[in-house]
Parts: sequence; structure tokens; C-alpha cells
Amino acid sequence: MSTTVPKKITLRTADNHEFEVDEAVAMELGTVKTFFDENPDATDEPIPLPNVSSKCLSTIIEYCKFHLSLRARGNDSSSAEEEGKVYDEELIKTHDNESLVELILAVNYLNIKDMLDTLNQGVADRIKNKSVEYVRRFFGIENDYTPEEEAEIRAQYEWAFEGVDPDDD
Amino acid sequence: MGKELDGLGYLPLHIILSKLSPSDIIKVSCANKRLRGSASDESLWAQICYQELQLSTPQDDHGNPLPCFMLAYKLWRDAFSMYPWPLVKRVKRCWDKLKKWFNNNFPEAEATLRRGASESDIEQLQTVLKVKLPLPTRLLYRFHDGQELPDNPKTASSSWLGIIGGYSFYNHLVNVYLLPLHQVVAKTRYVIRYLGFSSRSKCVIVASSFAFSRKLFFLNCTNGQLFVGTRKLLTDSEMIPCVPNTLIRSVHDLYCEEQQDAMLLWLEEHGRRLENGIIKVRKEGDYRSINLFPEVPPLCVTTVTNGVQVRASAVFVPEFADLLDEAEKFTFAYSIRMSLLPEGCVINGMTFVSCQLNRRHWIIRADGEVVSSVDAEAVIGEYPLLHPGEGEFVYQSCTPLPSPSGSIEGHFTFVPG
Repeated sequence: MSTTVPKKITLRTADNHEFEVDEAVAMELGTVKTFFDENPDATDEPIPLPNVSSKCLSTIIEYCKFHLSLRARGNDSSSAEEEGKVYDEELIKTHDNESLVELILAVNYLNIKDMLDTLNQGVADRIKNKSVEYVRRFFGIENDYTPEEEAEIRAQYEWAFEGVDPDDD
Repeated sequence: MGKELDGLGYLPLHIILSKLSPSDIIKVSCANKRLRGSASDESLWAQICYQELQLSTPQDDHGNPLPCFMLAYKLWRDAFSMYPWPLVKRVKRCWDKLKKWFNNNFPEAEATLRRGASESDIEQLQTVLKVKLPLPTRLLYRFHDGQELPDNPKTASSSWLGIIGGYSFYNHLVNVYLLPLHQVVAKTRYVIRYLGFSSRSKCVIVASSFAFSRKLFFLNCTNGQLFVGTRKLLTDSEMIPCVPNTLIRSVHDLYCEEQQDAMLLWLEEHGRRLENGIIKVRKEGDYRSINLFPEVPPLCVTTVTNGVQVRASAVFVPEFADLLDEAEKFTFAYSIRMSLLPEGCVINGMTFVSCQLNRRHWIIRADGEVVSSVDAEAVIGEYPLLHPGEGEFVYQSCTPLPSPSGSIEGHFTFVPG
């Protein structure tokens, strides 16, 4: 164990909040790591993250801290793996559709591969077996097909539209 | 939230789509045009075609090349839209496994597989024979309409290309083919008309031996069980089921989770045995064929004594069974393979470069009771001479038993030098 005080890095969000985190946590963010790799002489100035809100960043930092501590316990520990899964499930559960998409955008920008994968799985699970209308509402998008065009796709891919779950919202 | 979608970008959308089923991806593509673009990504559909159909190039179900994987997947789904998709994937895996093995080990036999039957071919058979084929069997025929049969079964080398294979002992030579639908019709009508077989049994002949002797497999279209005819087939319609009844279910049910008929279970098990080397191709005389005598433990035993190696395994011969006969109810054939190991025959420290079989001694038991004890000269009239490193001397023989389980044990006497 190193006895020196761990280096701190300051991150500044789009809404101008500053987060001071351990270097190890900051290095979990691919975008930040790349910045330091490319600028080894960077000063202690806060790193601006113009595409990330403070709400998202605090969730992301919590996630990184938690998974770092799990990894520190060693990869062979199956209880760590199980705890990680429970944490990820809880993370998905506590976000509604809109905030989940917002979080994905932030994580995608920050390039945190594992977290992005977890969140994308969460989205996939939510639109799995759901209707086309549900998918539109989920992504907040307009239908830009003519009724004829849409009917044609549905007719062409009849097998895809069997056994759809109720939308439940 | 339209703003977010634009920012969602290519990468996360691609990852999300890659975690969805093909049906869900299609629904996403139906949501709007932008999503359709992402959902039409070729790498996405290449992955799906590989996972579900083990396709590494885009092609239809007849092997014709196509411009892209998305179209390939759609055409596959369309071609089999009348079947449960999980069953389609399973039948394809079954054929793929068999064809891979044949391609590597017995390409002459793979070349006899016919192109898949059409739905109308199948409907026609059903009308003519007044049966409804179990779903798994229908699908098996959609992939391959059986085998191209030998022109002249008495002479041609193609008489040994049956994908089910067989065995030979004395003058009994068996090699079983999977029949094409037109032969299923012809042979089934023949047994109904000339052999007094009841058409109400709803049995159709799906596989048969082609040279010299008769081994016939019947599929009961009502319950999905596969039967093999016994010695009393032609006189008493006697047959033996091939697959445990408990494994068979829902053979006509389009909507259940897992349809199981004996035909698919039987071919899957055959594929497993070939893949695991339990049975192999063997050359006998001038011809290569699938030989049903097991080649690996526990069904094949090996003993080495003084440098002489003997391997032995047995198969049940259903076409010789006679269920009403007390003493000779079941016939088993056994295959004995003997060879001299490279170091030669070693006795008390002395090495001999050859040895010759003199006697055999067999004790045959049925359910533990000795039914036969033979101690005599030679095997099938021969005295094989073994040399180190030469190929195996192989012979087959058979024995009837009153019970379905039994054993055969014994020893050979060899004279060194």
C-alpha cells in the first residue's frame, strides 16, 4: 500500500458543479484517462465535462467507486460478482426510462465500457417483447412512416409481431 | 426526448440492438426510419444468423447465396413460418451436425442427401397416405428429402452409403438409408397392399436397408414413435419401439415449448454417436460404410494379453427378434477385433514376431444364466495369423438370447511363432 496521499482530480459538470475524486476513480472514465494520457503535464485545473449533468456524474462516480472496491477484492470472489450484479440491477431499477437514457448518454460520452454495457442491457430488457408504440414512447421519437409504409413492414415481418407483452404504461 | 435520441449516437444504439432478439429488433425498426437504419446494420444480422442458424455467409435454406444477412434471416423465417422457430433451429442443428461429420469422414454418403422437400411434397404424401406427419419429422424432410438411393442395390458400391449405417455377420448384411418421400409413399403403400399391413396404424416407412436383407423403420404418425420391424414383421406386423415413450410428446402441437418425436430424437442420438466416435466408418471388402458396432468404452471393451489385443462390442439385431419365441427372442451380433501390438507377442520374456489363433472359448449368459458355452477350434472357420503393427483381424458372429440383457465372455488361445 502506498502511504502517500492519493492524487485528487477535479471534474466540472455541465451545470458547473465540481467533484473532487481519487485519481483511480477518475481513471475509470475513459474520456478523462485519455485526456491525461495525451496531456501528461496537465495542471490541477478542473476537467470540464460539458455533456454530463451533476446528477449523472454523482451516480457514475458511485458506480465506479463501488466496482473499483469489488475489483480490489479480487476477481475470483464469486460473492463480489454477485454483489456487483445486485448493485447493477438496483441501479437500473432506480432510473425511469428518461433518466436511464440520459445516464447512457453521459456514460457513452465518458466511455465507461462496463457501465455502458450494463445500462444498455437495462434498456434492452425494458423494450424486450414490447409493442412498436412502446418503443416509440421509450425513445421519445415520432413515427415518420406513412400508415402504408408501416403496414408493409408489419406484413413483411409478421413473425416479429407475435406474442407482444402489454405496454404496462 | 427526441433530443436525447439524436445524442444517443450510433454506438450505444448498436449495443442495445445487439442485446435484443430478432423480433424486438424488427419492432424497433418499425418505430421510425432513423431506428430502421440502425436496426438494418449488417453486422447485427450477421451475428443473429450465426447464432441462430450457424450461417457464416448469407444464404437461403437451399444454400443459394444472398446479398445480405438481414435478407437471409427474413427468408429463413418466411420459409419456415408454418413451424415453431425453436424447432426449426433445432432441426437445422441436427442436420448440420450430421453433415459436418459426413463431410469430414464419409463425403460419399453426404453427396447422396437430397435437397429439401417442399411443403407441397409433404402435403401430397399426407394426402396419399392419409397421415399427418409429426412436426419434427416434417421439418427434417424440409431440410433433406432423404437420400438418393442406389440404382442397383445388389451390386453398386452405393449400397453402403446409408447414413444410418448397419453391420454384417455371416451372410446378413445391413445398411440403412433414410428414404426420400416418394419412396416413403411407395414402400408404405406396398406393405399396406401386399403384406396385409393396416393403413389405420398410421405408420409410414422412413428408413430401410437396401442390400440383401430387410431392416425397416416405421414412423407412427399419430404418436411420433419410431418402430423397427422384427423377424415377424411380415407375418404378424411385429415391431419394436426405438425411442423410450416417455421422451416423446406434443408431436403435432404447434404452440407448445418442445415438440419431441422419435425421428428427430433418433437422428440427434445418431449424430451424437458419430460425433463422439462411438460408431465409425469401417471398410469391409471394397466398401466403406457406417458400422454400428461401438468403437469406444464402455460399449467396447479392450484386453491385452502377452501383446495380443482383443477388442469386443455387440449390437442388438432387431430384424432377427421374435418376441413370441421363448428361447430365441432377441438376437445380438458381436464384433471381435484382434491384433498384435508393435512389440510382438511376449511370453516369459521371450518375444515372438507372430502368433496364430487356435481356439476360442465363449460363455454366453442371459440375465446371468449361462445359455451357451463353446470351446472349439478357430473363429468363423478361420485361424488368423497376427503380425505386429498389422491391421486388426475382424470377425462378427451372433447369438440368440431369451432375455433383452446378457453377456458374452471368454478367451482365445494363440500359438506363438
